[in-house]
Formats: sequence, structure tokens, C-alpha cells
Amino acid sequence: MTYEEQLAFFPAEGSNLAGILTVPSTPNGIVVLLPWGAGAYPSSARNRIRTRLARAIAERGFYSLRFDYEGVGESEGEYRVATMGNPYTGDVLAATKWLRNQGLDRLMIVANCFGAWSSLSAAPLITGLEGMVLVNCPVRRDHREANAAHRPWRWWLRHVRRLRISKLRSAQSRARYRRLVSSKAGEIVRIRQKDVRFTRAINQLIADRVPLLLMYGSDGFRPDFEAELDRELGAVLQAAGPPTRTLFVTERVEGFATLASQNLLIETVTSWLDEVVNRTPHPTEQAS
Amino acid sequence: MSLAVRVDEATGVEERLEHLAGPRGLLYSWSARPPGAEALVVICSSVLGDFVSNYHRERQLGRALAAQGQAVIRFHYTGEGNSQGDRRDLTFESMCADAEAVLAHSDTLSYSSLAVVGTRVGALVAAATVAKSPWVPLALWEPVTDPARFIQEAGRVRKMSSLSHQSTASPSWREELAKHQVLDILGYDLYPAFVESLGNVDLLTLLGITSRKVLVARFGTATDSLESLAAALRARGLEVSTGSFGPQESWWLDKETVADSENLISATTAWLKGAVSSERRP
Repeated sequence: MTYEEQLAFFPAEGSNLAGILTVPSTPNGIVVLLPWGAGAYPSSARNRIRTRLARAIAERGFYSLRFDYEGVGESEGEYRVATMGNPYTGDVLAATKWLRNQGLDRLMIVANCFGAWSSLSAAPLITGLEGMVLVNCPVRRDHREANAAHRPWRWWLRHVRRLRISKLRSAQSRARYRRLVSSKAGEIVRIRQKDVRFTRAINQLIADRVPLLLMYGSDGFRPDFEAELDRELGAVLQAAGPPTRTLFVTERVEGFATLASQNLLIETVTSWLDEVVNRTPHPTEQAS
Repeated sequence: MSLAVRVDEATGVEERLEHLAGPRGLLYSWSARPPGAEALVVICSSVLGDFVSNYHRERQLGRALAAQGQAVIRFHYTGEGNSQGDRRDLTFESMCADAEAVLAHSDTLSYSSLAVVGTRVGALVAAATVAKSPWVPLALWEPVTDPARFIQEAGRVRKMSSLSHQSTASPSWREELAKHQVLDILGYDLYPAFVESLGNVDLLTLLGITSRKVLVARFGTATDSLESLAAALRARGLEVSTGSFGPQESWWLDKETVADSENLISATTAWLKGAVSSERRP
């Protein structure tokens, strides 16, 4: 066995989160935080992909922390539906704070889907971030909005028929419907909502010289990301140079609903982490 | 072995994240111990897609039971979730051996009553594990009565998925399993050892002929199969309660929404409370 696992509860805003710290038998001093998607699933995720990833990178000397968001798995609190305007920033920051309290200061993040969006939102508040992998990160709209934009009119008609006035009483529901309609309308007239949050966050990370890997599959948020690349983000990422890069794969990565996509993720992340560690020795390592 | 403990200041409930010793490695577990609890409920999950789909309901059940004063243990089988072990080695026998290890651990906690909850394939595990203890009440959520159908259902899901993503038809799941020694069911790996281990298992045989208290809960509104199962169990002397709770679950498909399970949870906790109060450890 090349690792052992330590179970922990750690404090977040008003609740306690549950996490598993994987400790490699030969540590390289770097810890990888693994914030995942927003479903109410176990911290192992579909087909244990998060468990397998944590154990695979432990073989390369990386610590890792996988944890449950508030209201999920073994964490305290009530489940909160994910929205772009309300990412799980507090949970990601609580996890980084706990890691630092364990003496693990050298941090990288490997995040998927809504976990990637939450990590992007938390990144400006994390000091000394040494690398970030964002897999299928939302760019300007969530799954429902992205899917609604591509639904046929038949689907929209069916849902309008089912709509009840009572559902529109809550401001949250009204905002939700407004975003869905706006997403569809934007697709028809080929005008995309101006949302600079994603690009601004990526630009800031590049300015801070944080190595980035942006990975998209054949599904999910790839069209939204490609649209941003066509604007100015493509040039910014290219100028940053390796190990920062974008990676488009032919597999479907949304939810990692194939074994091939899971294996690809583990191989890609493992080799990129190795590349980053080997290219940029930390000042404290050089001093020692 | 690792242990993390927290105590809720308001309720006094002690929650534990704990590695338990299993026959093939460490088992990840969560438990809740309310102050003064006399009964313990062990929850036997299912595996693969069911494990993920049902996880939030089991979390809710665990917390609801703790809130009404019953101790609870939930755990992951070897080769599943956060436990040690390889999925290739997951079999019905290994699942039962893990559940037995958890029950042996629960014996050391000295609660006067015990009940077991089993979900889907976990219902078979629960039934097998307490077969020799007819005084233990069993709550079964959407039990897999015929494992062959469980596997066929997985094969159908795989076929539907390949039809929607490929232009050519894929070979049958049996052919592919024989050829590649693994089957990809929407990102869940199904190995021959697991399929073969379920070959001769069936719920009625495992439950035997006893006077055990059993709750059978079905998801969805169709009650035909529920009533026929209940009739078969009553014919064997079991004291059966039943209930149907919507909505129906599509087990292998991930959803970002959380199904409303309030009725299921409250009915199960109420039934368990009554069942454990009348059935004590001999």
C-alpha cells in the first residue's frame, strides 16, 4: 500500500464538513484538493473516480483531500442546489484552511464541473496556489441552462404547459426560468450573455503565474468555452505557455459516464501534475 | 485505521467517521450515537449505480434515525466508495462478509436492540447476514428480488446508452463481459465475479421461514409486484408491512436533483422505532 487515509471533520461556515486526506507513503509535500460536481453523491463520486484519482496521485507522492459539500454525504447541513451565482466557495476555502492547519501549505486543485466553478471563485482568496486542473468547468451558464438552449421547441411547449403559477411565486424560481428563457433566446439570435466571471478568473490566475490545465470533452460546457477562446482567452492561454494549456478530448467527460473517460482523467491529471512539479521547483525546495 | 469524532452541541449526538476492520481491508463507515440510544440500525447499501443514486436517501435516513434517538451505522463495501479493495473482487459473498464484520463491530457497542435496513442488492445482503437472527427487524427499500433481472436491467441501460451515442449496435452484454472481462454500464464497471456471485441468490430463500418483522418499501406508484412479494413473504410466516413511495427511481442514471423522500424516510423511521421496541436481543 502506497498510502494511508485519514478521516476528518473540519469546520466551514456554520457547519462541519467530512473529508478524507490521502497520505502518500513517500510525500512530495504537495496536497491536491479535489472539489467535485454538485450532485448529492458520496465523496467517492461515480464509480469511485475521486477515490481512484486520490490513490493514483498518492503513488506519485501527492497528498489529496476529497470532501463532501455542506448537506451532502457525511457532512453536516442541508443540501443546496448549485447555481452559478452561488458557488460553494466557502466549502472550498474551508478545506484549504484545514489543509494549511495540517501543515500542508503547497496546494494544487483538481476540480470537476461545479467544483471547478466553485474553485475558480475561491482562487483569488487562496494564497500560494501552485496549479489548477479544471475539468468541464461551466463558463457562463449551468447544465440546465446549457441544455435548455439546445432543447427543441416540443420540449419547451411541454414544459410551458406544465408550468403552474404557484411555481412563479418564489423569486428564486422566477430567476431560474428567466435564465432558461434567456439562454434559449441567446441561442436563437446568436447573442451570448456577457459574463466575464470565468475569463476574469482565468486571466487573474495566469497573471499570478498559476499553471492551468483546462480540460473539456465532446459534451458539457465545451461550446461555451470555445466561444470564450475565440474572443481573447485563446490568445491569453497561448501566451501563458506550458504547462498551462487547454485539452480537448473526444470522450464525454460530463459526469464521467464512461470507463474510458475515467481512465483518461486519471492518466491526464497524473502526468500533468508530474509535469508541473518537475518544471517549477518551489523556492523552499531549491533552498533546501 | 482512522477515526474522526464530532459531537453536536445542540443534540448531543456523536458522529463518527471510522475505518472498521473488514475481512479484505478497511471499511469506510459513518455512525451516529445519540445519548441514551438503546437500538442500533445498520444500513446495508447497494453497489454501483444504486449506491450513488440512493446515497442521499440513506444519509437522510441515518440522520432522521439519529434525531429520533436511534444509533446508526452506514458503511461502504470493500471495492466500493471510500473503502479499500478493488472492484474486481466485489462479490455477493464479499458484501455479506463486510456486513457481518460491521454487525460484529455493532455487537461490541452493547445496544439492546438491532435492526437492519437493506437497499436494492443490499436487501439481499441484509437478509443473508441476519438469517440466523429472526428477532432482527428488516426494512427493505426497493429490494432486488431476482438478481438476474438486476443484471439484465444493467445490460438494457448499457444498450440504450450505446444506441444514443453510437450509430452501430453494440454486442450483447453477455458477449462483451465474456470478451473484455468487464462491462461499462454508464461509467460503472461490472465484473464477472460479481455477476456470477449473484447467480443463485434470491430474496425469498434468504429470508427463509420465520416470524421476522419486515418492511418492504417500493419506489413509484405501481403496487402489483409489491403485493405479490408481500403475499409470498406472509405465506412464509413473516410479519410484513408494505408501502409505495414516489417517485420511481432510474437507478443507473445520475441526476443533479434530489428526490423528495420525506414520506419514505418518515415511514421507515416510524416503522423501525416500533419494530425495535418490541424485538430485543435474546
